[in-house]
Amino acid sequence: MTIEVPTGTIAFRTAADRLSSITDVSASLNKRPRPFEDFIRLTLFLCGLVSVLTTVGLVVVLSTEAINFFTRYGFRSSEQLLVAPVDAESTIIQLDGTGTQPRVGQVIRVNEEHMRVVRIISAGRPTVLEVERGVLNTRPEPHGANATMFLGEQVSVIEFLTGTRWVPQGADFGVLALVMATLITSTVAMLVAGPIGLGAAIFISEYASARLRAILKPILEILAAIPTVVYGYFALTLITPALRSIFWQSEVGAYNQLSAGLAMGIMIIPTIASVSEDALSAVPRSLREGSYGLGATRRETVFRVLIPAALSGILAAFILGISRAVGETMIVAIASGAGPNFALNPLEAAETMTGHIARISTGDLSFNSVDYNSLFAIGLTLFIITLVLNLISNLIRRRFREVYQ
Amino acid sequence: MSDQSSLKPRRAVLDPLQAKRGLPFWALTLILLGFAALIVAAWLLAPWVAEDDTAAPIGVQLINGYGMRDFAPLWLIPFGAFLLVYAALPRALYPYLQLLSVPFRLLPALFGIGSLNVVRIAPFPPALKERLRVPFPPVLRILYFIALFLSIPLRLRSARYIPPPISARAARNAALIMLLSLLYFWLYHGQILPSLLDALAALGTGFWVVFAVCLGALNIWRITSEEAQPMEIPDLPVADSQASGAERKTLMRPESALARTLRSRRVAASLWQAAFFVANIVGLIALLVLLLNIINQSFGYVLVNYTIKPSELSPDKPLSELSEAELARLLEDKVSRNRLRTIVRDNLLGRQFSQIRLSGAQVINIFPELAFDAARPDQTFSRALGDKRFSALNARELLTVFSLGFGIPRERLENETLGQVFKGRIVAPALAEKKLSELTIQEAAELLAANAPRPQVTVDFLLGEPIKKLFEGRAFRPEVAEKRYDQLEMREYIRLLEDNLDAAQLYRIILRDVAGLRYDRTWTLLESLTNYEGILAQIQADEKLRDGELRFHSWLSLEFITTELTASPATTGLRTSLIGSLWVIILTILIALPLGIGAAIYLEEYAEKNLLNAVIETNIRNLAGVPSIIYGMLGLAIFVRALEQFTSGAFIGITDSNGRTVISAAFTMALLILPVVIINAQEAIRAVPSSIREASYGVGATKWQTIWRQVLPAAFPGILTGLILSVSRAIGETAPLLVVGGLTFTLIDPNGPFSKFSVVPIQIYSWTADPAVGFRNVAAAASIVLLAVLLALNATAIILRQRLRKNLGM
Repeated sequence: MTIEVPTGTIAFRTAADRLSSITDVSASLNKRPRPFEDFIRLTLFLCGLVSVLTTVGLVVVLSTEAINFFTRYGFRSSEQLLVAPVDAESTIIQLDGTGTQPRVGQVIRVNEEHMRVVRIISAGRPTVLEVERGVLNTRPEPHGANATMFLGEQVSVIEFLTGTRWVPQGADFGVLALVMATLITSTVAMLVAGPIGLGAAIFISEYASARLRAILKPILEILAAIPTVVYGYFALTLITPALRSIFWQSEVGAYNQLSAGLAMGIMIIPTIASVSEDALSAVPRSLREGSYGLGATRRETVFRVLIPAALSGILAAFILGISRAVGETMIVAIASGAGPNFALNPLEAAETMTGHIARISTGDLSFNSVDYNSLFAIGLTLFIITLVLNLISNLIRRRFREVYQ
Repeated sequence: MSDQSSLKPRRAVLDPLQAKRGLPFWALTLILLGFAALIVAAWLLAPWVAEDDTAAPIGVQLINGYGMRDFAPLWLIPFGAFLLVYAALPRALYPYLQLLSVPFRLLPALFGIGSLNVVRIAPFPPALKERLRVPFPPVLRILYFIALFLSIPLRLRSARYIPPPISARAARNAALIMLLSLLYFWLYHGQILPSLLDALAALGTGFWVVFAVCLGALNIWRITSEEAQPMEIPDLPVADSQASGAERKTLMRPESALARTLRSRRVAASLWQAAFFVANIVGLIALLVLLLNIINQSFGYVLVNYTIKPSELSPDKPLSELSEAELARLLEDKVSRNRLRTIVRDNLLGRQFSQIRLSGAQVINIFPELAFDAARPDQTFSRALGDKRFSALNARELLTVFSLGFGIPRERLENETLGQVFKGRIVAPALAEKKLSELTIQEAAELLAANAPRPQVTVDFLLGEPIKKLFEGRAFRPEVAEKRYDQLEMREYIRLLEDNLDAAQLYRIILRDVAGLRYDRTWTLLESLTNYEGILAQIQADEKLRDGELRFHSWLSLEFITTELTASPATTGLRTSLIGSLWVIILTILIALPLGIGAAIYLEEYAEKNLLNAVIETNIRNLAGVPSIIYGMLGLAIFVRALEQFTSGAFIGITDSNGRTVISAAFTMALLILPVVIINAQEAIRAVPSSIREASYGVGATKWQTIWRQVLPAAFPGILTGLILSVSRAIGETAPLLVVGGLTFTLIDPNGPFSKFSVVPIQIYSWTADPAVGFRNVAAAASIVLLAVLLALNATAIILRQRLRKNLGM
């Protein structure tokens, strides 16, 4: 606010004048726009958005490549030859009738052209087909006699999800072969890590003195910090020979799921132990003291009061352990074998989903091959499994959490 | 965490059972020391004892017969450990020892049956002996002896905690039977009345077995049943400290039903407590075994052998002392030109430069499946054609190659244009109207490479490249710049080596490629320390091994860390993958740290409680649980494939790499650790007290000024801790880097963000999977290096966290 002194007039300076010239509040008191703050806010929001973009990218990438996998055609020779040459326009072709017969609606390939079978005019020798020429972005072209016809097959989702053989060369794409191995190794791992992790957590939170706790907790943290390659090395160089010497050597293969499962179990003990221990410590003292006041022993308190109270956290810990076991790659890649094998016997070698992905990626991988696409189909399956497990774990944690005041 | 000190028993006050304690500690120590002396004696005598020991003294035969010789040194370990444990054991753990001793009673009985020695010398008919011959492996025999030794003092000392009549008797009887067996072995080998004593010993052993089993079962039943005698009740809080001794004893009459149930509950409680304790011990034991195994494999004897001994290569001076010029002369004198070419190729160019690429491919190498087959002479290449280099083909031969290789009839190739013949394949538009006979060899090479049957076929593959292109970025003399690799003379190869390598590297090359250093067999540390004679025997037994030299080798050494990667475990090193790891980690931190902190600041400071931000938060938590290999696939699809222009460096002019570079790996790892970094940073920022923020706003700072100058510095130790933990996880990650393109073998150190790379865990993986001699050992040495780095990082994080807790007064 300025006080205008008209020029030319005699202006004698009052105290107010002097004050106002010192404190010249010429700035408006409105909120100033601060573009830098807005810019910062936008930048930080974009940083936060990166995680959303990651998830979106994951889903998009996995889905599109998996869709490519399910829609691509793999061609197998039908051992049938064209009986007569065919020009570019006619829709009738004749085959010699030996070998595999095409079905109506199946895509076939002769030389470089893809055709679709519309009608089987006559089966037997010769087989006469009416076809639609030049499907799937190929152009109709003339073919000479004795050209081999190839049958096109797609991998159906049902076949993928329920088949038990994974042999890409034989066009067998059954993911159950890989899923079964994952299941067996994860089960062995949980059988090892579940009781031990829970027991360790109970001991650390209930029975251990402060000094003992200070020793045991770092040991668990060290176990958790060891890289999984080293666990794989441990499984291959110590556990497998030990198993082979305890059981007969003919029973236990040089690669087997049991040793991989045992090493995985040791690896996820710290996960289960630390999350369970957090859950057990979160139970308030009043519950414990009430239980002791009624004369229960410590063990009875643990089993009848604490575990039910911390059940949500403990279940969440178990599911977290399972999802870690399912997603583990290096231990199974090293110790569990290199061939997909639908084997229920844990002493046999079998390849898990993750091990298969790792093995295929280390070879020469060209970007449009069926191997590349099948990787992503398997990856999508794995992603869905772990996502479901994580969601269940979050749900359990939220639903069964007992709220204390 | 509940404070349990108020619930601990005050033992000094409540100790109603002053039962006999069994043997005093000094007596036990004497007994144990006696056994220790026995073991030491066995170890010292061990080298003298052979299979047929009837001539040896009785004592030695005794030891031998019991199988002690094989495992004598190993006994010292559990023995010493047990002594230490026993001395350091707090009395609080005695009840658990009592309970642990119960299975120990059963174990010796079980192993007594299966032990080879018992079956071998018992007087059973031979057919029955064969059936009973259970080949228990060394592991179990070791466990047997450990159990044997641990159970003796436990049995003798635990008299207090088991109803005295049974336990004392049990201890006495068990000791008697064991002495009887020992006596039997002594006498048997002394051949005094063997058959009678055989029978006695068999009976005695059998009796021992049955007795021990029954005793163990009986004890378990007794201590968990209701008729147990009064025992110490450890957990009962003191009712009234003023009561006198006599009154205290009658507070609870021992025979009442309440007391009985109470006792059994107490015992069950102790059992479970022991079980929980054992659960912890399992983790500790697993960790110890893992570390010991790695150490075991990293040191030991190796059998060194050379194709040409260094003393033959350089008779006057030792090989390691020659200067660079002398080494170069050595190479010139002793090595053939072809060999020299291979050496230069492997050491300067990297193994991915195959011979074919360097000098123009032979036809047979482009289409190996069309090698001459006498059964189908017109469908395969003739021998002469197969041996010709592609760059030297004439028009007719080119026609043959294309026709056979691509399965196209010759007439079509002769008469039709390339656009028609190669329909459905890749043809450059400029060539589509030409016929095959009109192409130059360069154009034919490009056409062939574009439609190659296998990914390795490139134009350079077919035609060879000049030195200036192969050695771009390295030193070469101007006079060889235009020559092709296979056209150089020996002197020029040597000059290439001299210009690019120093004396130490030349020495290593000569050692490896000329002298052919290799390790024929390796042994673990345990074998090396304890079984020297066995090692010598193994060497003598195999004639291929006899002329090697036995040397104690430490696989983990400074040389191992600073040597580059080679294909042979004798000379390989970790430097290439260490540098690769370093590059990847540094770039990962540079990418993940700002993004993570930024996201955390946004979520904590700026985000309102709307749906989008809730989605972001849940999303981050879900991402933290995604398996790491899925991130690898994401990186493969996006960074390696879709963004290949950027990640291969093409946008700044690098033309000879693909998307599988360090920068792709760094982005992938950054995405991997981002959720954890964000969660940790969020917690750190949340932990900053709001008083600081409010004071800052109070003096007129803007939001960002507050964050940048007050909140972040206060939260920084916490953020750093989270970052260090994430980084330590990232260093150990293998699977995503495998998928993104980490190599398992590369000769060139990664030297920039756009170079190919390998990292230490991938190296460990590829070495572990290789069955050749020596690779297990280098994998173990590399694991030690990796674990040391991780340990240092984790220790830093833990110390930081402790200091942080202290500063914030927690």
